[in-house]
Amino acid sequence: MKRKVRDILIWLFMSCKRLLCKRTFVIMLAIIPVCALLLKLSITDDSGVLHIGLYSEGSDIGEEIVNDLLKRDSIVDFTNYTSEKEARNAVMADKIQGAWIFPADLGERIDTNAKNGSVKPLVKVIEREETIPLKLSHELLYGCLHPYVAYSNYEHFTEERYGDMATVDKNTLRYHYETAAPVGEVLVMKVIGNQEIIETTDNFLTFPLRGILSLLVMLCALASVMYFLSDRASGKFDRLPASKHILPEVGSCLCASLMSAFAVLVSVYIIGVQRSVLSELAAMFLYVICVCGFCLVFGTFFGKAERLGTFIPFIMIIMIVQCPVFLNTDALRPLWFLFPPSYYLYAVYDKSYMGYMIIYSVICFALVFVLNIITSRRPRAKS
Amino acid sequence: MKRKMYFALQLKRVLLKFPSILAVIIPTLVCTILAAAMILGNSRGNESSTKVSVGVVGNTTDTFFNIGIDVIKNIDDSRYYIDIISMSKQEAEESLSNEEIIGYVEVPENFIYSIAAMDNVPAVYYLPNKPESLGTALTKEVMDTVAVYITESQKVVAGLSDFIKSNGLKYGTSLDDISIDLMTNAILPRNNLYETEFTGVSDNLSTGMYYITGFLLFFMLLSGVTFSSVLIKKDRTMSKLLYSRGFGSIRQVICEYTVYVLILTVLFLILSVIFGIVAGFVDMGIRELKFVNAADCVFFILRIIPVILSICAMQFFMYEAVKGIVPAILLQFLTAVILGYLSGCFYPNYFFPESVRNIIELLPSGAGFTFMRRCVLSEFPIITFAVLIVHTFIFLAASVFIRRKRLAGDER
Repeated sequence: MKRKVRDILIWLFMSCKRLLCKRTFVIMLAIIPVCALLLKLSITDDSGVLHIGLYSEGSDIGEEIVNDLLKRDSIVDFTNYTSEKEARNAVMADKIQGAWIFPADLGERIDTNAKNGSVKPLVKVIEREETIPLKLSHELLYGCLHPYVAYSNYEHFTEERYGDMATVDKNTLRYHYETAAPVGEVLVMKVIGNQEIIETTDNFLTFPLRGILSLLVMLCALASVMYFLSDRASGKFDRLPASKHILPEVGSCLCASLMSAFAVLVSVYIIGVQRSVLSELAAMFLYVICVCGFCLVFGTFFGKAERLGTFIPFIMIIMIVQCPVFLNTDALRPLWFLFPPSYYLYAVYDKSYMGYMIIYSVICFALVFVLNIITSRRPRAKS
Repeated sequence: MKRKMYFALQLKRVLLKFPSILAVIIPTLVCTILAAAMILGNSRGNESSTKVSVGVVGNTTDTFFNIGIDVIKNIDDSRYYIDIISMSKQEAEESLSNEEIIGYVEVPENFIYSIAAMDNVPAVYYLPNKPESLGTALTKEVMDTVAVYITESQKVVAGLSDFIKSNGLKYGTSLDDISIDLMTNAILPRNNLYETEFTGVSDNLSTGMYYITGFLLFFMLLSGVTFSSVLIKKDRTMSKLLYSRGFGSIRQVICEYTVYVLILTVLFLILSVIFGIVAGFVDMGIRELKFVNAADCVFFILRIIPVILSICAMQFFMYEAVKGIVPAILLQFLTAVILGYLSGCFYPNYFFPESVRNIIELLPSGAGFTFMRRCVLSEFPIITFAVLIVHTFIFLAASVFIRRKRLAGDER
């Protein structure tokens, strides 16, 4: 038993060594954390789902709002412009998606609306076209205006209703407004299952990165299977019976997956999208097993490196589309369960998916076992 | 004469393997179209496909709760982009797990009374326990803003109440009146507080056309993988023989590269004819494709030949630089995905910081994407054209250098 374990470890070590002798594989492993670091360094404050230009014509309220928005930590990026024309030109040149122009008489307009009960425009908004993200951004705009609108309404209402009965002094009104604050929060956010939201250093540009990195693990595993198939075709495993070829294949795939998984985990921590250490390690370990099973099924089925190689882009694109890498979509939902990255991307957040990954691995390896028996009985042509 | 013969030989070699190439191209094309259709469906300003759905869980026997939901659903301006769905707690959890809604708000029983009493019992906005997306990030920001509406409105009511109390005055209906005033004059009609000016998109692409162009580029990048069976050199005997007979690496590379470009261009021309015919019958809802026909699509492909030249040169160089089928295919695929992501095929390029966008413009894919977008608008960006030509020369020169070094090395 001891000797068998030692033999297995030697095989694994030699598989790792063989893969690390392949320059391309080493470059791929090195590229993963380097690209992650470069992306982390290149993501600056001026990235944004939307880019909105701001210009204030000189009103105090406008200046305050512009300063607040420029300091705000948001997925909308705000840029200050020195004139309305400049902001408009930037919109037309598609440098920004919208521009908010705060007029010089913004304060007076707010007061007029409050006094007359009218709803006249306060801010000029310049946009190229009407889109949902821009409509949602209007909520942010009104969120900035509402404190001033609300206060103005309060001031005018009090003056109108109680001006005859009491001294309505601006300072006193402000005092009552600021001190009579409500207790407690109106809205809190939680993750389903009453879990606390874990604040990570997520920038929205990093949202698809875990998905891309998981696909890289898949790609490395597929590459190792391809290497194995070309080695087998050149006769390197002829001393083993055909039914036992699966063993070095498993070893090779496992080594490649583990090494790339390590590089991916390092990258996850570099980018800053990590969850707890335990969930990261557990999810990644189970993902490695699932990936091995998945790749071995296709490796055993195709039998030749060239056939598997030409199939790779097809399977990778399906995974990019179907797994929640860039999109989370209902289309092709029934295919969702076929691909390991789907399980992994959810398992990091929801532990129940780890159970599904175990079931998935068992099914894959059972399929590999059956396919191996069938294919090992067929005569194999050498290259 | 030798050049013509070698060119003909390479062409014949590619045509012989074309059925197997086509067997890979077609599924790749289908998957790319599927991906494009999904991203397009997610991003277009079509109400039915892009309204964000948010669930609300609360006491449906509470009149104020029901009035509040009705107001938001039917009167508030947010009804154009947020779909509020009233549901039970269990339905909400299931819908959130199945991603039918982006989140749900659980409104506690005494929420409205607590707001009125200034002693808030908070509502809870539940997010899915899944990878974060742009939708969830945007709705989080909107929910934060909604909290501001409520808090500032509370301060108004609280401030007025304090003023009345401290001056010994009668409340009357003042507190209700001011709440209604704020609601009807400010919060509900808030979209009327902006004077919106649309500049139009006539000098820029619509979102739909942007993504179609992006995915055309992505397919071009992936085509390098589909041609692996002809571009991977398993056996350099022919090259060595020709080299020894004076048919140098420059002519070899030019011939092989020209065949690749020719086949790919013909393929794109055929696909453009099919696309043009389909676009003539099917309304894709994209402004630029409204009156397009097969001839327009063919003309467009001819105009983007500099992009085809540049991308093909890059792919040819990668096959020349790397030995072996495995690393070649991996490198092609990785390059396609990474360049596709950075060049803005999956996300609009303005998502990236300006410094990154400036660097991407210098890459073959970034410059190619810009050139293609300008061609759609019937423009001819000279600088981008020059960048593409420079890329082509650099990659071809590098390919020649590697081929020569390899052949000279083998000779020794």
